[in-house]
Amino acid sequence: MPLRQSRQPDDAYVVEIGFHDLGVTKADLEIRLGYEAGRAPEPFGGMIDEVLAEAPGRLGIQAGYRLVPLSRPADKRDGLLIGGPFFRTGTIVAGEFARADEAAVFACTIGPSLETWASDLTGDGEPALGFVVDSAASEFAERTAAVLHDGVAAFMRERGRGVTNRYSPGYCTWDVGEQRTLFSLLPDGFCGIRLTESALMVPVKSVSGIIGTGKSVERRDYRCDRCGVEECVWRAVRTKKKSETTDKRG
Amino acid sequence: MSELVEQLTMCIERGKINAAAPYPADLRGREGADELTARALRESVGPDAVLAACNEGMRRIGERFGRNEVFVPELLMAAKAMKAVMAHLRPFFQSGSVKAKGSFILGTVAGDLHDIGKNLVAMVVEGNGWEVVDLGVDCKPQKFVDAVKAHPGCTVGLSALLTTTMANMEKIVKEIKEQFPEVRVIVGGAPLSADAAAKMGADGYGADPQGAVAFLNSTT
Ligand code: B12
Repeated sequence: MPLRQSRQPDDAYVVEIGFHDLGVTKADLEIRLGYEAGRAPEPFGGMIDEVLAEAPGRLGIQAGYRLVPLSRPADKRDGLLIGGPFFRTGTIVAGEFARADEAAVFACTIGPSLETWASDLTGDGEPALGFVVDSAASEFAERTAAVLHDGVAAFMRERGRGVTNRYSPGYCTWDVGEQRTLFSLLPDGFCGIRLTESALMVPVKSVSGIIGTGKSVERRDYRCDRCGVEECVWRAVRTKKKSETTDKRG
Repeated sequence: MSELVEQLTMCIERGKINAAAPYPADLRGREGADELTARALRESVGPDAVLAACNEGMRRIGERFGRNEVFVPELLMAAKAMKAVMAHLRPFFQSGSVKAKGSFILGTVAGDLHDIGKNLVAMVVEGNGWEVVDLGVDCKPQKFVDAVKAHPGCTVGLSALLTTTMANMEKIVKEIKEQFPEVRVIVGGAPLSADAAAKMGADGYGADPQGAVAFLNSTT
């Protein structure tokens, strides 16, 4: 089923995403916790079932983006002009956006409820279930960003445009502090997310970033081999599963 | 007697809390850490011996975690079984006849609201016989300084989620080291590394709760 989006003032769009759009399975959560698919021992398998049963009622997914002009200045190759301000994204991200002339600045969240549930469980002497809930919430948040990305790609296709991969402040040498400038491009309180002084999004299970769009833009796989961030989580994931082509970053 | 102690060690390692607990499935209906501790104390196994048996259980599960044979959920079940034992041992700690290994002051640094990682560390460290003083989230340097003053001989653990809050972490490490150079500080959290820890002047870095335990045990 194609996603529905509604247009807001200033070229902003709100995209409707529900639990089933995320397509998260028990096996996904087992793998996330460290087990092999179908092999989580009890009671952890049962805990995953419980979380998957509860999640639809607890998820408060909000997602959206705003389209703004984008360009790569000739004299500053390590960044991009996005909707006015210059972002020092690093050359890897800037290079990926070379053919894009517009950016979808996006943000999404699954809301605070799962986070609070995990915290309460941990405080109430149920740390293992709390951990399972927290891990599932992270999976839902990552998937929300991926589904939003697919949605933006589909909307752009209708206009004869392609999209790049998505990139988030805090990844690929892009300073997470620039999140503040990124949020200045979005309407106030967009998707119910607020930023703390240290650029932390609240609710915590939220993702922000940019997707480039343009007539001759193509989505390519991430190029971890070109990045110098040795300790990055995605480098580790990609080295382990070389065949993986889906993008989950940010 | 030694069989009882060995059983207790096994219950901690396997996270068997009490007879009613369904986990692990193969021990269903059998006595757990709760009943075995009560029985051990009744049968005059000293609280020190009970604690030693449990610490051995936590050490074993920690080792299996290090070998990727079990994961964080199993570690947490063991910590929960340990909590049941601690409820029996509390009077001995209060009277001073049994001593905690020491106190561990733990908090998420200023600007950071992320607590699940820190809470997991707290749980496992406590399960390993340390008194944990959890300062919560968004902790300013003064909060750590006050807590260190109130717990002489303590070790401090700091947690952070983002590189932006790592700057605050560095300030806290510096503040503690300036006022209490002898206090050992370990840092952890997703954006940290051993390198980053050394650069900010911390004594150690832990990638997971077991890392905190190894650090604490190495300093006693
Ligand atoms: C899952 C995940 C998310 C989830 C939610 C994370 C959460 N904390 O709830 C989602 C998808 C929402 C997300 C979003 C973002 N993320 Co993220 N995320 C991760 C990921 C993959 C795992 C983090 C996690 O939840 N782990 C599980 C929990 C339980 O572990 P933990 O909190 O780290 O705690 C464990 C250890 O760290 C340790 N520990 C913790 N504290 C302490 C203390 C001591 C003393 C010791 C010894 C040990 C210790 O023990 C704990 C238990 O094992 C990490 C990469 C990684 N592998 O760590 C990136 C990571 C944390 N994210 C990162 C970034 C940048 C972001 C975003 C800013 C991206 C964006 N612009 O949207 C946002 C920020 C969200 C916000 N609210 O502001 C960066 C942070 C680095 C940086 N540059 O600041 C990381 C490190 C990825 C990277 N670039 O390599 N993220």
